Amino acid sequence: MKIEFNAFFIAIGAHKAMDLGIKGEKEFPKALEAIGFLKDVALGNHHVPGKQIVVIGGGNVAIDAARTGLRLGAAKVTIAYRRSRNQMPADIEEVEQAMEEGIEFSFLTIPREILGKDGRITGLDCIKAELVQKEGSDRLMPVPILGADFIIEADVVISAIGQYLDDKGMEAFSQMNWSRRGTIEVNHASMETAMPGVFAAGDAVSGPATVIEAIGGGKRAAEAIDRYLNHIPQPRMPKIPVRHHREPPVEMTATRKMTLKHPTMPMLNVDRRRTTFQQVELGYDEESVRKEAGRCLRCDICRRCGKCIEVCRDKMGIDALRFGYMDFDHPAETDFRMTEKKCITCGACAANCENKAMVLEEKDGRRHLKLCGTLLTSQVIQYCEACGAFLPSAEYFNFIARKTGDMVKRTEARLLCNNCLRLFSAKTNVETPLA
Amino acid sequence: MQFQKGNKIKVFRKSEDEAWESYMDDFIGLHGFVTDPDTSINDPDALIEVSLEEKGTHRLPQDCLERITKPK
Repeated sequence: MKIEFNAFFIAIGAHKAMDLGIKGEKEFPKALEAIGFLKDVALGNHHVPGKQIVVIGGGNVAIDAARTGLRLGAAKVTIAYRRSRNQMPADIEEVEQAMEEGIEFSFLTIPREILGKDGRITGLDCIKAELVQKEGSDRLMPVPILGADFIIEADVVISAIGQYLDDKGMEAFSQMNWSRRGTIEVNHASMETAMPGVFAAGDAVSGPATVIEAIGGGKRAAEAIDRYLNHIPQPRMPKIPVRHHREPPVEMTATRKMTLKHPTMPMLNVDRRRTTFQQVELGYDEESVRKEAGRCLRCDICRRCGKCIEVCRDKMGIDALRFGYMDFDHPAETDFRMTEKKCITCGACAANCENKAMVLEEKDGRRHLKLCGTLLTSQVIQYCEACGAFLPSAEYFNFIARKTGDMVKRTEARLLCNNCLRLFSAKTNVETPLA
Repeated sequence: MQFQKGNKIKVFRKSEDEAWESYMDDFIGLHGFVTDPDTSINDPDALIEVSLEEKGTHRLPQDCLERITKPK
């Protein structure tokens, strides 16, 4: 084999379903595993497996299997999951859509045995569980409640509790190392295994993960194979993505930013969803897309470091910035409109912003404070009466006057820059000597 | 520790997991976000996807990560 090929790339995925480890699992032909079931349907087998389907698991695969079963014509589909809804690894949208379509959920349910006779399933024997906090851990574990057993009636049981790599037929790659998770061990910079010239990527390396990661791994492996064939040394660590271009932010007022609502996704009618395999989410129209894009907080520009808030509140003592969303773990109220009420356009926030997300612009006789294109406040620029130099806004002067009290009394009637103020004060002091 | 999507994290030490590679030593001390907590939630052995500041996105073992809360 090695005579003809100089490099190998293994991307066989992780398709083998994990066993439930319960009685009856191997006895009935209608005890299916989700991946095989979904594959058969995708290949054109549109026969309904049974009238009452129970899917065991709480991930996206379990939801897919349940919704597919419903579309094939099952009268009742139940998802049995051993933890509660909050702990379900499936995407929230998927769970909500499944509920809308009429799929039943049985949470805190641990399957014990698949019941049946004469090769036919009659039900799934389950026991109710409660979530218990284990000592020294913040994870909640499902623990069976003694005596709380019950039966879910079913004629099909689909297991969707996870997949792993099927290593059948991989004997030729004897020098390859396997992780204790049953995946292929690689150097993630080059995706090369311990066997020279053999590369691997995708779920076979990461375990069940996302398509994006698999594509990324494949790309890294392709580049590494090219280097390998050209005898170029492999890098020590994976390539770090570099930003080549930054899209300018969409300019809008704080009020518009705060009142833009998340557009509702047009959905296929529930009756059609239950009976056809048509696309459920029909997609946004252009106006909705623009609205949705307008809600973007531009995390590529603003890293939510919160320095602007700290400077404004703690150093300047103004507290004009209500960006509660910048606190990652305890998000508080966010209101961009509040800035206009307190801001003095001192520019301390903009000066301390490392990424230039917060900017102070002077345009058309006004000073604008913007956060990623959102206009937070706009104040009139003032000019020195004597020399015409730019001066801070009236709000800024008022703030300084409050802080300095009597010190500016002599000049408060006139709008002067620092230089002219010094000249004026000197002149006044000379003309009116102290008694 | 149970991580949720969007948690701000810090790579605070070297992991003892076999998935830890030598280049990951450079990540110690870096901050980032959890982008994909886990395909089977609550599994402390699972690798989770984190996006590290200026170092890209990686799957790391959970024992090298800690959640960071900004001081009030």
